[in-house]
Amino acid sequence: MSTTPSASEQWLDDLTDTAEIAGETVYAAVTLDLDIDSVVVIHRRHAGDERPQGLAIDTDRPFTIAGRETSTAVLWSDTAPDTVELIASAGRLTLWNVWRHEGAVHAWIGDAGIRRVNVDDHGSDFALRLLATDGFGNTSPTLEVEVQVNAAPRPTPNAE
Amino acid sequence: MIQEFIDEVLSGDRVVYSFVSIWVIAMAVWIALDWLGNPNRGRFRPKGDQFSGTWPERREARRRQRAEDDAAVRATLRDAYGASSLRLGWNRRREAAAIDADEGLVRPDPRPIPELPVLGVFSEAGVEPLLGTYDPDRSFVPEPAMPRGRWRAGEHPLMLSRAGKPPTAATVRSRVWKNHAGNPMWNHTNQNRMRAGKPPQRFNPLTGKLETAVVDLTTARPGWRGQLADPFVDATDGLDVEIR
Repeated sequence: MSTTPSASEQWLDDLTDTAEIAGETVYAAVTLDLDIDSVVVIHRRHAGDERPQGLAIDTDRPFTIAGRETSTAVLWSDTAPDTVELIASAGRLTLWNVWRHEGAVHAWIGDAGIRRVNVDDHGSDFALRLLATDGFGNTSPTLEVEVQVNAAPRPTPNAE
Repeated sequence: MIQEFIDEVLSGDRVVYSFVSIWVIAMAVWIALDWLGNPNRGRFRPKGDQFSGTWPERREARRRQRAEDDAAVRATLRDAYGASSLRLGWNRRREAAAIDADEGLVRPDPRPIPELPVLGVFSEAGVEPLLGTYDPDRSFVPEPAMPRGRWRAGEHPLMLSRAGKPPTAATVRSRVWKNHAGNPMWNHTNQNRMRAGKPPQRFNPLTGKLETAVVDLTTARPGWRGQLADPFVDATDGLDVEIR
């Protein structure tokens, strides 16, 4: 039986959202500070099939997704398309993984955590990949998404 | 000079006042030195018992933590012995007060208490009585007869007492945690809490605070407060429990 505290135990003990597991930083949530209004494209590359996996989104200012304006949403592997685009105002954008188990939505417990990898994507202003695991002790990611951030196009002035 | 002091100060009623004053001053000095001489007093708290937030929030969180711990012990005693305490002189009035206190933890919401589904035996003419869940807004749902007796971990959270009395909400919640303590989804710290009938906790990075899990008493499932909207379906996900 391992005595190494899991990431969620370290978050609880230290009241922080990062933990060191085997030399890697594991995040409870990843926050992006958007300097300007941005188009954020979230592409789901992989999702485990044992239970629905989701990517939760929280912002300090409302964003538009699927024609709706909200400040909190979750992209479920069983309902959302593989690629989703959202238009976010400048400000904070926080992402974390969730999963459904026995009818309830869980996050930040057990072996849950997110490892982030910056991606050198020349087609976007900024891109990163999130490798997330749910709380069931999986060694391989149960959710893998790529997030691309581009500046939102400025509205063209009316010619009239 | 000494004689003058004795005559003027230590004479008559003055000697009594002087004696009392000296002792009061000595005790005040002693208390002040004891207070100042113990720099760790009141400061050490195990990490698991540390709470963030303002001073009133921390005080409320500590009060809640103590109440949760007490409620877990009382729920265990109720399961084992049918009473919240084994103290001599423990009577029905105290039992009712203890249950009220425990129920207050489950239902801290000041909103009006919703109508609860009633678990009981309902009978119709010529039909054998059925045990089921009765909700005025829904049709009667018969259920298999609920077992009676002393509840042990792994058994149905709604199991009745030996006398057929349904468990209180606090007892149901405690049983749910004990039943889920072996689930690998919860870390070791939470599993230990759950084995003792206490709710698991997590750190919410959005708020920077500890969160305590809740039980949906209609389904006896654990979950968390709050909702996350799914923009691709009409309904919202999350645990929207009426009673926690």
